[in-house]
Amino acid sequence: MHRRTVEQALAIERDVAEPTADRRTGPEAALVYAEHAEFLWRSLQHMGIREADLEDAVQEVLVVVHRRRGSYNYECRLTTWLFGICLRVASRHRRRAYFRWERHEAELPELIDHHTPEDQLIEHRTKATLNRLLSGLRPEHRAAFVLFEIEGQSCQDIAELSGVPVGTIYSRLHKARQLVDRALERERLSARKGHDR
Amino acid sequence: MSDPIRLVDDPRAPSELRNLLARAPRARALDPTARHRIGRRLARFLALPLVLTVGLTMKTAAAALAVATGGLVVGAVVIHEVQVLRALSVPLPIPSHSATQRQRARAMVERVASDATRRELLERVEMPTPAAAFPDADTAVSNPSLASRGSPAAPRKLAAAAPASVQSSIGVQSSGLELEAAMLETARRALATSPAEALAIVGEHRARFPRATLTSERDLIQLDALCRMQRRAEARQLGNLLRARGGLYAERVDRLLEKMDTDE
Repeated sequence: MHRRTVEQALAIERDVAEPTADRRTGPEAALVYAEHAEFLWRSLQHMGIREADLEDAVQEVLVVVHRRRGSYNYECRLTTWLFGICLRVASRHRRRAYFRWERHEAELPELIDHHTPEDQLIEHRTKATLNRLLSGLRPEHRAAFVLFEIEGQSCQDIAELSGVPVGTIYSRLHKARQLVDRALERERLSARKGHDR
Repeated sequence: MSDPIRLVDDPRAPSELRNLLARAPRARALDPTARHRIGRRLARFLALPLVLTVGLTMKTAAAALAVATGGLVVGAVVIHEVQVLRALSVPLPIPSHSATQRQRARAMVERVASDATRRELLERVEMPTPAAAFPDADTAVSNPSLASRGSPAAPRKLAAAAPASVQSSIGVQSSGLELEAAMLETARRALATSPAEALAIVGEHRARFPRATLTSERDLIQLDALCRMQRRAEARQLGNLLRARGGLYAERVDRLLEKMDTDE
């Protein structure tokens, strides 16, 4: 099986990352952070990590990178490996949310550009509604849905990022759409009940 | 098989869903303040890896114990242990408001710390605990509902409320690697648009960090900048030096020099 060199694995696109001195130790957490902090930050948002928890979640990912760097075998892209770690961290966060006293509501990111108070109100409602619809999705389904439907990435790109076949992405997307449909139906029902009172 | 139609473009999709998706915001970029904070936490973690690793596991176990058995007494013990575990990752006094708590904190350090860090951590257990530094501690003890919040703001509040002398030691302890990486990231980003600027940043890095950790990263950026600026003699000289280090660098160096030659 072809193994890439450390340089090839880390030199993705325009990387000028320092190859690790010892290939056995794998990618250094500090270098992963320097090169891929933005990627980790966005990926965790796609997976539904709340705004308030994002910094902790990124830290958790980096802790895992540090502890498990020896397990990276350079057979996949580094971002794919990192994406897998983000998924596991996001799943743990989701499970821990059941033990928190406050309700767990995964948040979508804030838009920076606000025009009018009405726009702000619409945006706030949009975010809140979409968060409710997506909150029941597992991180891998949510990531596929958000990356395809909102971020506009192709299924092939998402598959490469996730390190799974494109058929798996189609399947996740299909599942996510089903769950979103059901959540939308529940929203409509509860809105109707509210009306009827 | 080709990609399905996006819901936002699909007339069969519910209109409210299409409207929601059309207005949905994209993922927020990482702002410099958050990047700086995470970098500092990472630097602190890399300085105390064993303690934090075990601490995370014990925090999970401690939280599960509190939920399973309930009770204010057990909850108070768990809350204190969570506070101690959080403080272990931050170079501040470890919270201990009574002799009993201090004893428990000492016992925890004995259990989790490596030989290399135990002495320093025990000193921190003995440091006086300013009440203002731990606003969450008293609140958490009197309000058990906050026990399992696992508030991510707590470590930041601890660091922010620390006395100035401790904060400066945090700065000295944690700034090196994080600053190095941040500076080199700036240099790397400048390569495409302004290699001269990248070179200047590399020079500043060399002056600022005479005993830098990320020297190879820096040298590769310098080589890349020289190649882009077509400063051939200097690039080749640096390339030979890097090649002499052997092994992993050779291929990268060769690629950069080859690109310089073909861009003539």
